[in-house]
Amino acid sequence: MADVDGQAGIWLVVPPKVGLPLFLGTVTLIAVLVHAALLSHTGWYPKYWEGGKKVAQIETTVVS
Amino acid sequence: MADPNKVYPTGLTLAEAEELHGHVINGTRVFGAIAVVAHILSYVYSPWLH
Repeated sequence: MADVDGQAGIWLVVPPKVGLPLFLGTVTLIAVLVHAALLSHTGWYPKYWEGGKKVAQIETTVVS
Repeated sequence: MADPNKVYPTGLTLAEAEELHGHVINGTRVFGAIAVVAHILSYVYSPWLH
């Protein structure tokens, strides 16, 4: 795996122990924020997470 | 960056930094590919953007 964007020098300035958790943590934080926003601003997303609730059956009585 | 054996303040040489960065880039590509598939599925199977 080669350095393809010419930005590898960042690891000569920023220690990987700091930079990698910062990078991955930021990605995770954004992902969580997006899902939280979907949860609080849409109806279909909470329903999707709520999962397989069957549509209520219509009960009828046949009078004969 | 004339000396390839020079150890920078982060403890890495240029070659080590390039190797690490290659992994970072590859991971980003894999993440991106999965994200593209996830967004396509979300668009198809949810009301998102409809």
